Amino acid sequence: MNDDLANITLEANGALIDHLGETAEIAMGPPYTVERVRGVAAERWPAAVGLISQSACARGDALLADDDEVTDGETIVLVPPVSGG
Amino acid sequence: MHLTAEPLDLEALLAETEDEACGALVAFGGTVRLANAGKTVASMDYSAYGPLAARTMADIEAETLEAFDIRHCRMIHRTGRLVLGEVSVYIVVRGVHRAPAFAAAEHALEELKARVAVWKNETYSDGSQAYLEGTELARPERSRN
Repeated sequence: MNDDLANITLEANGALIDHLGETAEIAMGPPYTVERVRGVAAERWPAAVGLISQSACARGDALLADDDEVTDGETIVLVPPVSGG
Repeated sequence: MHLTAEPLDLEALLAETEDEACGALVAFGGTVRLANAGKTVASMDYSAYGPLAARTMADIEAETLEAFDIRHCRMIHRTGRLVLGEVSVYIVVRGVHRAPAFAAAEHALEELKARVAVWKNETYSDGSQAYLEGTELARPERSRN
C-alpha cells in the first residue's frame, strides 16, 4: 500500500446509488481535496461521470468547497442534484 | 423534526405554531400525483441525506422568517415509499397579514425544492423506475461548518 494514498469512503445518494452502491471506497493520491475526490470517482465510475460532476460533497451536515482538504479514513457524502417536494 | 418516515402530521405543525397574534395561516401540502412526464405513476420513493437536509430546512425556516413579515415558518418532509395522494411535504406559515404569509410559504417551498438533499424515485404502472432530474446544489466557496 502506497503511504501517499488516502483511503476515502464515499456515501452515495439518489441515482448515484445505482452506480456506486450505498457506499464505496476509493484510494487517492494528492492533492487531497474535494475536487480530487470527485475526479477519482468520475474515473472509477465513468458511466456516472455527468452525475458525479453535478454532485456537491458534504461532511456531516456541512457542504464542502472544492478546495477543502480530505483526510485518510474519512467519509465524504456525494450529493447529486436534489428533487424534493 | 424536519424529516420522518411516518405519515406527516399537519395538526402537530398547526399546534406548534399556534399564535393568537396571527390573522393568517398558510398551509401547503405536496402530494404524490398520478402522472409525470406522460407516464402513469404507481408510487414514489423519497430518500434523503438526513444531516444536511435537516440543517438546510432549519436554515430555510430562519431565512424565511428574516425575509418576510411573518411570525412562524415550519416545514417537514416525508421519506420512504408513498402511494398516490399521500403527502410528501408540508409548509406552514403564520403571520399577522395574509400577503406576506402567502409569499413566505411559496418562497420556503421553492427553496426547499432547490436546496434540500431529498431525492424522488418514481415507480410507474409498467414497473419501471426513474429518479427525477433535480437541481444542482450551489457549492460553497468555503466550507460552512
